[in-house]
Amino acid sequence: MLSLFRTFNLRYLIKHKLRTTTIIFGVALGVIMVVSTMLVNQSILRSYRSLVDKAAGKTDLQVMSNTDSGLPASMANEVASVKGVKAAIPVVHRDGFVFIEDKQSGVLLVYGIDPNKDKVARDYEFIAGRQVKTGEDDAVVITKTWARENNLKIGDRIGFAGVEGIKRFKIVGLLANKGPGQINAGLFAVIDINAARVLFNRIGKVDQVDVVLEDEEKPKVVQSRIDTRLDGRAEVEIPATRGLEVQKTLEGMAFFLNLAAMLAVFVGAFIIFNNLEMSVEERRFGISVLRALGLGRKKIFSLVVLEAILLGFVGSAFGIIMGSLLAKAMSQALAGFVVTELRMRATDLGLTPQILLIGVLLGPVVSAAASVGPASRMLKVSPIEALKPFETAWRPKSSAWKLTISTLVFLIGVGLLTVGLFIPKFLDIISKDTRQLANYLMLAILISFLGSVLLMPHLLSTLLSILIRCGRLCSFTLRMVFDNMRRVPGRTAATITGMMIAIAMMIAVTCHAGRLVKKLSMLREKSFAPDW
Amino acid sequence: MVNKVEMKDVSKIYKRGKSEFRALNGISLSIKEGEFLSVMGPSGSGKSTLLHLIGALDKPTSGNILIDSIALSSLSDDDLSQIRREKVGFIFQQFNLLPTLTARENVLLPLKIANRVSSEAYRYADEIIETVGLKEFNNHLPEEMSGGQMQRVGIARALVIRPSIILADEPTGNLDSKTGEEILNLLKGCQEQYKQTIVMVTHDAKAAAYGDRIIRLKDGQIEEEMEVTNALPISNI
Repeated sequence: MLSLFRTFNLRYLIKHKLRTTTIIFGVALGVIMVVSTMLVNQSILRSYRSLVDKAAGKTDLQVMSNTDSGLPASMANEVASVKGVKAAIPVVHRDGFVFIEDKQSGVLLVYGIDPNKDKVARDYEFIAGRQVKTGEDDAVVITKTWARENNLKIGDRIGFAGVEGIKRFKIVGLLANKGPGQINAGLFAVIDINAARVLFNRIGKVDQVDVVLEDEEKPKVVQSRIDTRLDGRAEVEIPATRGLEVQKTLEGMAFFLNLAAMLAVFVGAFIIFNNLEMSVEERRFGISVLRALGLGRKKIFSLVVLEAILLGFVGSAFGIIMGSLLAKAMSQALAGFVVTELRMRATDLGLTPQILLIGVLLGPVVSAAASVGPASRMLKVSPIEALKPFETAWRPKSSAWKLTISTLVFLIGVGLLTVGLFIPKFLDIISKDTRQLANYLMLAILISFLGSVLLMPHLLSTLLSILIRCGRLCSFTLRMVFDNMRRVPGRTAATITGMMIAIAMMIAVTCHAGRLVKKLSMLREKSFAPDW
Repeated sequence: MVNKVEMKDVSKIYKRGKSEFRALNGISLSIKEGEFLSVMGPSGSGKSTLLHLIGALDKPTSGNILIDSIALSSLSDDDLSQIRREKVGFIFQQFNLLPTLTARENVLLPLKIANRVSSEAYRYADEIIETVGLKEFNNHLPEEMSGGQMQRVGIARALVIRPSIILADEPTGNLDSKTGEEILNLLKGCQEQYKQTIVMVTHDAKAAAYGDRIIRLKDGQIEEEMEVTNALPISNI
């Protein structure tokens, strides 16, 4: 079998390089999108966690301003006096434009802290140097990660753009890559709270009060007490729940990226199907010769599927490499977006065994699935065709049961989608879990597309028959074109459906991306509002 | 001598829509081991159908066909494929070589299909390639060979599995007369050298005369049957 595969299939693939490359590209397209999407999703979610979770530390509650003007500094003492509060830690935080040797070198999330109080909320671990001291107005602590990236060491000076121009700070400590050292993926600096007030024009103000509770106090109970005390002058939130909205938005982005990846796999499958169809049709005569020489139907089927699986593996390998590179590029583009909008950066682009396995298997599985149609058609090749090659010209037959099934699948898909989108109460019945709802919608979209794929050849055949009958309206050349398209409706339909899905995908992703940017900007402004 | 092929009252009817076409009509025929049988007849007389049925490419509508005493009528598609790969060698009018394979690879193809990839089988293949005079063309692709050379490859490919019977469908139909004569001489030589049973369909009386026996078909039936002797003038065929 393998020996036959080497001579019959491999030789053909090597000779028809363009077709082989196109099939591999089709496989790679899906794998690239899936791998890069998974990597970016993983990266964004981890970055988000590094921003919110690490920043919160041991904080149970956070008191934040409900306007841009910040909170009065006295509010920390007011909160500290509430029953059940162990410590109320004032924080000034801003995004600071940082300068190294007078060159602007990005943006750091700067925390202005009270060094004595802050250690209750966060465990700072240093690999070199020390924490800033109370009242030390020119000392800064940065992370080991960012120091390494910018060749900085203890004693070096960096500047922050403030209301009075660039103010220089001396690096007195380097944070280890854990706990607060991981905040904002290392794009983080700590200065004394008073220095931060002067730098960012927050005299007499704080941006946030982090609250640590007495043992056995319930956050919700104390939250209610603080709310009563502050009487609407500030918002009191539990950090874990404060992040939920952002997390939900990011999951929305992940859903759309997953959808785009899934559709890319779909489009890729059409490219594979189309080219395999042409490729096996070209070899139809060769296959009839093999049949005449005694090759059984099952082996013919296996040869075609095996060829698809091999191309699938090559496509997967190519896709994994390209997907990783694309993820880096996407993450850099996102970092651009993230740095300007969210001030966080995408990290952890490493291939996990799970992503690698999915990438490796996706290509062969999709290719094998796409090859079932062409391979099944080759099962019908009669060995007699080898003796009378000019008498056989394959014309597909449309059947009523195929049309019925196609219509049914299409209607089920559209029905599920319509119910999901326009009858919100129905979704409540299915589940309240947003992930389950997303999966439901994804399935509905997939079934609708599958239905349209199955239905397209029938619609196309009917349409082309009508067009051909309009003989007077069409030129001879055009009629020939229509007839040629009608001869292989499966292939023609695959091309049209592939294009249709690609366009639908582009429109959906573009619309969603715009909405997402708006929403994330809004959320970011709420949490870490810049003052420029 | 043992009968390699036996046909007993074989009929083949093709249905086209509501009409029927009787391609073979109750043919009975025996082909002996080592015999070279030529089949002649006008277009539509049933020559090709006869070849398809003996070659296990198709099944008769009624009657029975036996190759090496194996009845083909009751066999499944997989079993018929097995008969083709183990007992039948085909020589085609269009040569039917795979364009991406070299001459030697085309010859080895039936061995690979039958999964007979032993060194002994390969040695035999090389011997056959030498017999048909293609040793120097081992690594040539079909597009680099003449019609005569391609048909030699076709003959070698048919012989390589040591088939019970070789079926040749107009083997000289695509060749000029001189090359056609060479190919027929080669076929005759193979018959003698390997004691090979051959059935050849042809329109050409001169080609048919290379056989030991000639049958002439008409309207799906054997109209005439004759032994070929040296004394038989071609005009009589």
